[in-house]
Amino acid sequence: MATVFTATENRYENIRVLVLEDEVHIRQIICRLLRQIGFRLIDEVGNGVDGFRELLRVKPQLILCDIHMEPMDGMTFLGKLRGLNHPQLSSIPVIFLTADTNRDMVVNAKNLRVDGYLAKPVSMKALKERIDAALPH
Amino acid sequence: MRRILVICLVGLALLSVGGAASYWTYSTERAERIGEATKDLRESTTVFVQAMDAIFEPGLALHDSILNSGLQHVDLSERLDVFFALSTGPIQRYEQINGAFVGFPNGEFLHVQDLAIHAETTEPFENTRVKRLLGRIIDLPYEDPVGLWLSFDSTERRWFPHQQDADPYDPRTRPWYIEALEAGGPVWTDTYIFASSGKLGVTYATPIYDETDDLWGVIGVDLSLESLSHTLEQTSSALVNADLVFATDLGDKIVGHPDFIEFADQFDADTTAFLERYQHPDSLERVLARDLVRHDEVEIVQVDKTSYLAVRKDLDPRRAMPLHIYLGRSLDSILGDAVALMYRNMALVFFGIVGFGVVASYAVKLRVEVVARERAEAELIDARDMAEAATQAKSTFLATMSHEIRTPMNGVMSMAELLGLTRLDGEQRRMAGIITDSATALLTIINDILDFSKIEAGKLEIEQVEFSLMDVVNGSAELLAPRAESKGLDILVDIDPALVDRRLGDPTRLRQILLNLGGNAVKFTESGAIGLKVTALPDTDGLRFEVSDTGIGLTPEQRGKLFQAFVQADTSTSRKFGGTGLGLSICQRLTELMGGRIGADSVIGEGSVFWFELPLRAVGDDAPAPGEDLSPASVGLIGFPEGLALLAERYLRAGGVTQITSAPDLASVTDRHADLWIVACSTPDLDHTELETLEGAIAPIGRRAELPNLAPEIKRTASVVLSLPLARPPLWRAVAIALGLVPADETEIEMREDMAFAPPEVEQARAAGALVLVAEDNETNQVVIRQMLSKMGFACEVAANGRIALEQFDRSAHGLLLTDFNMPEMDGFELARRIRATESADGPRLPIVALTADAIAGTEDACLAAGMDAYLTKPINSRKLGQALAKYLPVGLDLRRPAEPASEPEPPAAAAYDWDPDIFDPDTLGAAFGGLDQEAKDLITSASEAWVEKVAAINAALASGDSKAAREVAHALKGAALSVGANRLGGIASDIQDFLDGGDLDMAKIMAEVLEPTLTEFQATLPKIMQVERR
Repeated sequence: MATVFTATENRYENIRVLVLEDEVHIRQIICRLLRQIGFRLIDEVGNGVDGFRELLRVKPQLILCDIHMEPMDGMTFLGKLRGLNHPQLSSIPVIFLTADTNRDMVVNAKNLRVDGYLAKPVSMKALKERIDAALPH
Repeated sequence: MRRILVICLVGLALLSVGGAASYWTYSTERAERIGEATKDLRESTTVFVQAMDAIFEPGLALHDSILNSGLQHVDLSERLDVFFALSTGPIQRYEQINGAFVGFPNGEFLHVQDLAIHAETTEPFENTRVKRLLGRIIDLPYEDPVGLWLSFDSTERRWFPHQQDADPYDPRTRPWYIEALEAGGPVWTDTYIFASSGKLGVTYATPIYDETDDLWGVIGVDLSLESLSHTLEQTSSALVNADLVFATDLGDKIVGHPDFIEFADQFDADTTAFLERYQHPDSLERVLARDLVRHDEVEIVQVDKTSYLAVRKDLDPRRAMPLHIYLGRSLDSILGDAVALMYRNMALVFFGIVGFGVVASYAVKLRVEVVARERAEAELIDARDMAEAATQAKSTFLATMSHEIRTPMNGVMSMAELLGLTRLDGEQRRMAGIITDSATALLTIINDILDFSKIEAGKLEIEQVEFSLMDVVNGSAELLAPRAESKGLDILVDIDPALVDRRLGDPTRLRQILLNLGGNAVKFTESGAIGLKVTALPDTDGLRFEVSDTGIGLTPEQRGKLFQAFVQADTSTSRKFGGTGLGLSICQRLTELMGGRIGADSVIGEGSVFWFELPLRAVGDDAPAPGEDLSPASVGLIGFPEGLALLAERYLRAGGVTQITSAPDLASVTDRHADLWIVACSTPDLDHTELETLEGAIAPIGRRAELPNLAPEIKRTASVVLSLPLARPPLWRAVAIALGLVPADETEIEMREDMAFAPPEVEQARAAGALVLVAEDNETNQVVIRQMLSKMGFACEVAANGRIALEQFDRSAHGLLLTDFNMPEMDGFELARRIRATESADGPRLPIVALTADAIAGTEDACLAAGMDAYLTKPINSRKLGQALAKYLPVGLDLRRPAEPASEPEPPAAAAYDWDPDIFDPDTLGAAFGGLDQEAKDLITSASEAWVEKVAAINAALASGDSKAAREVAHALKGAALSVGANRLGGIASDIQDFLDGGDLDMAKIMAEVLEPTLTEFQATLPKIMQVERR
């Protein structure tokens, strides 16, 4: 089955993306969406603690992150990430994927320099738009 | 200065405003603090009241129990029994109960504590109530009750009677008796000193009537007030917020004071004396007590210029003696630092206003010029400080960066060179060539930067060693020649033959300057010649070096900027000619460091002369001379350009040759007899038949690039071939050969042509004693060396350090040792010394060639001192390695096998590995091994085994806080992992190294935590890697 995104040049192919999402099925869906978009280098974890470790290890260029996770929620994860004394890592674009669109939450995320905020359920179109906006041009 | 004044004025103004503002703050704060202290005092009084109640409680309880025991309703004798029984227990239990007593209207008196029996009674003692009571308790031997006392021995629990000659005691005359009768109910007496003990006390007394309302007696409880002071002291020290505490009775007589505790220790508790000190009407306590007229109201009272915040609390007479408790704090202690702050701020206001006026008037007086000048000076100082700081930071950064860049550059250059040795088509070969050229150029720039930063950072040291002037100058010319010749330029090296050759100085730095100036000359010259001239400076040991060109030249303005760092004569220059612009700056600093000077003369359009002068002391006083007597020789020069002819003539004369002729071409040679004909390859009518008409030895001379193109016939007739640039030793040698004084040169082995080989089996080489032993700890270099040796047809064994190499060393198997300098456990020097120690003078001698990354001055001497034969610098140049192999291991040449023709290169397959390329990038090793062959796989396996230890070592070092050790291991792991292609692992190790370099131990630890899972991940991927088919 041909997909919309089988362009000759795949700009996502060499971009490493890290997905933090505790709900395994949602994680599968997100990863599937990412592959559809064209990503090939995808690392996935189920919480902020694992996410932080993977972040140091795999050094992704993009992070998609749920907010409500245990242990270490997405907001804490983002805070730790932005506070890292590692310029390459601390500036990685982060997109929050969450069902929680509480205003305070959004403001908090903005203060932590989040690069995108997506309400679940996520559509491929919206995801791609946010990713394109978040990635350096 | 103006700025400073303005800052002063603004500062002073702010000071005033700030002071005023803080006074306002103080007022608020004062009110707040007083409010708080008031609240505190109020709360404290409650605590004091509770503490006081607790003192009186047992006494009142005893009193109540006597009253309520129904004394009026029982038989007289029983009444006394009851009273006695009730009293003794509490009296013994509570210190503050000094005793309980009853006084009868007939004058009888019973005091339970020290029993006193009154004698005023009209009745006979036998009939007294006291006698009747006491007679049941003890045997009373006395008839006369006057002064009869009974003491209770608490250990024997018995009463002992004794008689004293004390004043007779009539209870009916005592205040407590009288007051109680007057009041008709319970009454607290004034405080007084107890007759029995001398202690301060008070009596609580109540009259008791029988059924007929006749007075039965008055009971009383004596309460000692000694514990009152104790309690006040303890309570006030528990409540920090009271610094004045005391208690008075209703007559304002002080009955309790914490000072008494201290006083009691000092004066053996003379209560009276103590209390008198406080009874003075002007005493603080009395004044306070007088002024505080209201109960439970916190007020400010001034005593002797000190203000107190104080409160009076009255005790409830039903629960305690009716006392006034006074609590107070001085306002100073309440306001504390707030007052000090307020005073200081007031001072600031004053100072601010006065200062403002003074400074403002001064500012007005200052002339504008002065202000302007001083400002300019300040800015200059600022600029200088900033520039110096920036320079230092830049230099440190560059030094670090350069080193970091050199390491991977080694890999790039070696691999590019190896790539050039594989079977490539024309286009690929051209690309490989560009990689090599670019990398070489880049390395030159990096070396420049490294040098420059070292000089700037003051880290460059100048050596003083003995060296050969000719070796350095001619060697530099040799190095410059290929580039010059490719542009059609000749290099003329003109060293004054009269100069002493052995000199003291830093040959490495001298060579560097010559190469730099020479390189520039070549770069900026399109046609003509480059001159390298060395002459003596008059009257000193100094030498003047001149590098001349026939290039574009310089304007005087450009000359002025020449030696500034990063500046090129023209900004368009860098576009046209490239370069960092650091070269001349480095040269200038080097000459300065060596105690010399540097400069340039130039005519635009005609060329430039860059010169420098250095004090290079001569060692000995002999100019170089040939080893043989060349004076009989006659030499003919043919086809020499004019400059070269003059130079050759001079050099020949210096060697003792006197008969020299010169001809522009073969045709114009008149006398066809000479011992040696030196014929330039550029001679117009050069022809071998013509040459053969000449009598004598023939020596063609030409550029290196021209010589191979020389007609084979000419080559055959030649006894020796000379290459340009011309230098004395080969020239003299050619003459000596012509005279038959020395044998002709051996033919040079052209290793480049001999690269397409395969090595023999290791066992075969071992048997022939042609196995190369390689001692090298760096894994990348191990791979590179092994590959190079293989391509040249030599088999090798690799040892990771000197100790292992020494263990592996087998004299019959190994024909050559290639050893790194710096290795863990045992370095190259030690290895060489150990091997030499096992050799006898006339026995076989193992050739040892050192490999080093830093070709620093003195390396050669160090090598020779350790018994090594030669050294090669990294990145390893395969041509030089080939030459070393041919020279030191000729037996290996015969074992070389022709390389198998490589199969047609397969089209590059798409990434089909099913693992993350970050975990393992197969292309890294694939490039060196031409795919993942078994050897590559073995390397991966053994490398990953070694990493386990390294990861553990990093964690251990970090855990013990040893950053240095951790950094070293991290650096090693980084190099090892990256060169194998374990990029993720290598990246983490690199991060750790960076964080440690940056002094961020915490981040290094955080990064180190993910080393282990990453290594595990790699190991989990290993089986997949091992299954990869060679491609």
